[in-house]
Amino acid sequence: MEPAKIRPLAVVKEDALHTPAPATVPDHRDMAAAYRRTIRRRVLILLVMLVVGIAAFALDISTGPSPLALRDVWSGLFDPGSLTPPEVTIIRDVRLPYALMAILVGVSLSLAGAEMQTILNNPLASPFTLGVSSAASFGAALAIVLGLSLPFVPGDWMVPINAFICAFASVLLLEALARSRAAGVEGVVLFGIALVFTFNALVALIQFVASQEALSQLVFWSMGSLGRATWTNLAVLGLVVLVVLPFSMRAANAMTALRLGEDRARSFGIDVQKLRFASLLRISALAATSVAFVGTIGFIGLVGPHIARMLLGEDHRFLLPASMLTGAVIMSLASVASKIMVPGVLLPVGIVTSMIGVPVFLALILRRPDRA
Amino acid sequence: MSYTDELTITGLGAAYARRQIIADLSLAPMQPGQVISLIGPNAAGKTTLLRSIAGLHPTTGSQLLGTRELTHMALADRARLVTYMPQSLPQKVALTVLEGVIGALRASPIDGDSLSEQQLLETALDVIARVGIPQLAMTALDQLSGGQRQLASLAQALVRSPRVLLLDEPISALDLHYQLRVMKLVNALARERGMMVIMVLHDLAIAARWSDRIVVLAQGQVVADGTPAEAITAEVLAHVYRVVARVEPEETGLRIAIDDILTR
Ligand SMILES: Nc1ncnc2c1ncn2[C@@H]1O[C@H](COP(=O)(O)OP(=O)(O)OP(=O)(O)O)[C@@H](O)[C@H]1O
Ligand SMILES: [Mg+2]
Repeated sequence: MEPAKIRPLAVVKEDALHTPAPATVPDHRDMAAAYRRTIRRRVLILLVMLVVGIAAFALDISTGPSPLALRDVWSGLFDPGSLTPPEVTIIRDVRLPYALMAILVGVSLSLAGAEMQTILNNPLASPFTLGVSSAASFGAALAIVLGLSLPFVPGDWMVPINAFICAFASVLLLEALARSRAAGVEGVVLFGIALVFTFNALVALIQFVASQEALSQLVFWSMGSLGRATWTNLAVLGLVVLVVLPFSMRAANAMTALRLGEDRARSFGIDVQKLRFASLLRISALAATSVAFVGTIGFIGLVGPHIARMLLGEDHRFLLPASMLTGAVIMSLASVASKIMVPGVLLPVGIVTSMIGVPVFLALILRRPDRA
Repeated sequence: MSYTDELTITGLGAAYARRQIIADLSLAPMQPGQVISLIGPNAAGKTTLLRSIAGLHPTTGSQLLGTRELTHMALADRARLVTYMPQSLPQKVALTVLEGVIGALRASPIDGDSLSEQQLLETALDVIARVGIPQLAMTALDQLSGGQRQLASLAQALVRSPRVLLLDEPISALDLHYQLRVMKLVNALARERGMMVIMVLHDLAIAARWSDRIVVLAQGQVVADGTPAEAITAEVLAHVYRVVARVEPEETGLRIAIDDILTR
């Protein structure tokens, strides 16, 4: 059958041809000014984050079974003479180490997450989602249940040390895989997810055979808690952050370039393999150390970098510090929440980060399309 | 400033796993200031050849730039001489067009001393203006259309003003205006700075009009190599693309008409 003849519509809309050309083109000076404005805005956002971080830190110290005024927190830290000795003790010996630990753990996990997401090119990468935290739990479980001991190592250090060893080993596995050209970045991520399941199963197995007493210790550990913050722990974690940070910042430009694509980054002369390897080393030091001291705390390493990215974009000179600050703020607020959510009960902070983290995270993802 | 080093490729080989894609490929010296288009069917090995010259793919044989052998040169040193624009467009990334271009400059030093912040910004803005997307400078890369992203990607390569610029299908997503604009721009850069441009194109008419030299690649082999009129003939097209074509010289290039495909 002959197809029906389609009559063409008006071929050219005369008036459309006469509409004026769109807006004028911006010149160099406008663009340069706009760029400088964004840079200034970012510095400002970083400063605001810092202030919010300090406020959250102070709030964290003031919250607890006996609430303190913020002014007392200030006095307790800088002018102890004006408070009663018990108040000073509470602030300096009990709350301060907790609050500092919250900050340091938030900084470490969030920085580790930001780097991990970039070098593995996956927004879901974080120490928690790729098995580093699970490996640490496994290490801790082994130490708790088997009552492991090493010569010259005090007993209560065995759990964090073993957790560290396992976490570090899991990152080394990820590293080895990242280095072998065969696996590719997706392979590393899938392998990390496999690690999560493997270690969780092993931990469950250990729990199954554990004694009642070991079990309760184990459960508490695996929930993540700031309760074991000591000055020594703080010094160790603080040192790790201080050592790692300059290297992270030195790699910032290379990581930004990597976001433009791996081939492209390599054609800019960046040794991507080496970048990845060095970054995984930093991640393992940060994540393994913090998990060793506080147990598994999820979502900070995922949410912190995401919020930072939404606020500041992916220029890593800004993204990395911003991630650290958001991590610190979230951890401090989670610590506050863990003290006030159930009156009179100190919840393990890991539970709170997940409880707050998941909905916040979902909300952020869902409002993503209209990001400016 | 102008460059004088020729690029000579001799006995080049490149393989994926155990599959040899390019074997013993040699090309007569490519001159600085020339625009050379690489054409050929899908899977001919065009991308593989470009990535090999960029140092992104392990190769055998020799690639001589002037008196320097590129093959075993460290990636960082090579990146001062050669820049590659990949065929695939940049992924979802929360950087603006301008930040992407500045990032390309900041990624590694290009010529000895590094640029000041002010120079970085000026250089990047210059390139963005020349590519013709100043209105997009502050737009995030993940909010661009396909063609806009291709232009942003081109700007990231151009900004390093390398001696050898490798472009893998730089105009495949562009509208008529920008196709022409990009071809004129790379020709101008080649003349101004003596930059050598090697680009993969699928549009033969554009390649013929805007290239000094055409290399036709099929199954990892050079099938034809010469001026557009020498390299693009009905015979070559029939052999390489399996099409029935008419090719007639014109004042400004070639008139190419494809009448049918060959089926056997
Ligand atoms: N990563 C890879 N692993 C294995 N084989 C590959 C890979 N990339 C390309 N190849 C193979 O190499 C050959 C050449 O591919 P190449 O990408 O160089 O083609 P091309 O000429 O650029 O094609 P197109 O015009 O489609 O871009 C193809 O047969 C392809 O299957
Ligand atoms: Mg290709």
